[in-house]
Amino acid sequence: MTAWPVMAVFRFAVVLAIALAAQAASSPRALADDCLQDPGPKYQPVPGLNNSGFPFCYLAPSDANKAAYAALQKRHILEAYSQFLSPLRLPHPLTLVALNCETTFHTNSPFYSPADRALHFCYEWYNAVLQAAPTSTTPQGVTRANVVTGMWAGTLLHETGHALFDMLDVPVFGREEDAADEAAAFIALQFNKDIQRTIIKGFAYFWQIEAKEGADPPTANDTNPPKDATQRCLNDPLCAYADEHGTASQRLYNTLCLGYGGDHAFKDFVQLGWLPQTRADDCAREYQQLKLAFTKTIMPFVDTDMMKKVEATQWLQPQELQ
Amino acid sequence: MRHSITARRRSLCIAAALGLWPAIPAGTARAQAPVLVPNPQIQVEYIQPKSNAAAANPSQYNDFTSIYAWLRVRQPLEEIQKFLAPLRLPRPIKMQVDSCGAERRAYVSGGPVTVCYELIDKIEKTAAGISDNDTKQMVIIGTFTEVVLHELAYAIFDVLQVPVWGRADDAADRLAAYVMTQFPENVSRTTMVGSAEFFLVSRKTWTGVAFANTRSPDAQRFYNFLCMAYGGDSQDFSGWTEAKNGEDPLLPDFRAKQCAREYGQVRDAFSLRIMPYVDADLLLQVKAAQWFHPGELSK
Repeated sequence: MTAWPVMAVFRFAVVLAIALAAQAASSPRALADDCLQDPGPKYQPVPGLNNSGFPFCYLAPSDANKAAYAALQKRHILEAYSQFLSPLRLPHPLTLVALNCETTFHTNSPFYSPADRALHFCYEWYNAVLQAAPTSTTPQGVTRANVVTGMWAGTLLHETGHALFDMLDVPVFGREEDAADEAAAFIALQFNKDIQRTIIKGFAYFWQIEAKEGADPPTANDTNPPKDATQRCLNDPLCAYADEHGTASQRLYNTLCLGYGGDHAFKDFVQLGWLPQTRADDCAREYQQLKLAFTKTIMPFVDTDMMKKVEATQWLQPQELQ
Repeated sequence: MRHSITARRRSLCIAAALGLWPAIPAGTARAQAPVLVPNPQIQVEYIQPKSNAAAANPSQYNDFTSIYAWLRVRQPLEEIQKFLAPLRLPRPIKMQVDSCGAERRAYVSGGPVTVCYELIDKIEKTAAGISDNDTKQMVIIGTFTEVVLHELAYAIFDVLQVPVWGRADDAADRLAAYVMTQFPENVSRTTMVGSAEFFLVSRKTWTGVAFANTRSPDAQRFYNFLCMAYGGDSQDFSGWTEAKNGEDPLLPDFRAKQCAREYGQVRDAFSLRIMPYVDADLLLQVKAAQWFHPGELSK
């Protein structure tokens, strides 16, 4: 697992975002000056999806991140995601940046920064997801490909949720981190069954592993509290709940519930004991709540003709859906 | 590291400096009613506790009966009915207190908003375990207010077709907390701190599948309330972010930094989605009115 549990690093997103924006503002060079050229073979864009509102950029990787960069660049993940987002009518461009995060920002976790309206995808995150993915199929039928693809897609969509809330001034009554997870799940559930299952299962499994590896709040006091105040808080049975994010287990069940509530194709979640029946009974209501929220607050900013093209496009490759 | 008692004492120090809530004796005279017409779209009812199997614990029947008698005299739902006078509802909402067989009864679209005797009983029993009498009263008043507003939030979201992002129960908490911060200062402080105190004292250990619950752990709700209070008024609650006597702050730095933003997010959501249904003239009257029994208010 990652040296820094994901739960521990997510909370720094806003702080990092501000820091990054300040750095960008003070930099005499434009971001585009530092973007790496596509070494080829070139990306073949999907016809009819104008992505000019979503510029993208791969920044130079550190030596440790060269493999991650090569894999992401070869997959053309930013190019594809830029086109995937093209139906959105946002008041400002949304920049997609792949970069090293740990050295500068002490995180491996992707984040959206409102100050420069950019989604930042950390090369380190690629490595973290690879490490978390199972080497063989789990009892719930989750494959390694499910987790790698699902977690990447889920994370891109989660951070996009934050961007939409910010740029569209979306009213958020609940906790924004849960709302961003909901946005990710809802968008995923608008695609075909293979994509739905890959993203929902992969995203859920990731949080299950996080919970198993100790990301949920502890139940006993730490006998040797760390010197760092934040880490000391996270090791405390009460203070750990101060995190603005839900616990890893909450995020697991929230994701499973939206899948189950949105489509009966997910009945196996209950049959396999992954989602308790007591929660499952509420999931259709939860999905309808989310559908209403998405319809009222996001759909007015979606080009429906382009959305149909996006929905008809096979964004994931066969091996990523296995 | 911080422990609950010291954290609790610190949480109360600001309210204590301003005066504490007196006890609310059952059978006391009705609160001085604000000169406001009750919201005609909100109906209230105190349903007599049932002695049958509806109660989770039949021995609680006597306790529920006492609560029932207190409610009929004190009439807190009628006060909420007046507090909500500015809210223009397109269809009626019924608020009731009933024995549920559990602490909560889920709101069903079109159905009544129910506050359960079981939860009121739990609030009173939790408060009874607090030695400090002033704290005890704050927990009773603050938590009861929070519970009513929280349950009512579900109906408001439903009736006004409010888009709700995030878990519904957290959204109901945040709406309740936001409304509580709009009370006059002494009432706001007492209800917010009293609610947070309840979540702190009543919390249980959560593990594994317990996290599948649609409702958040009390510890999470505790910090959400602290954050809403601090986000709404960081000066009054600045003590929560200070390390004292070798103890960490009650509200850790990484969360405190987010609170103004979290509060602003709820305020903006309220302005956009609920304020269009609020009568501005009546709202001014509500803000100028004296809420709660005169003897219940901070001195």
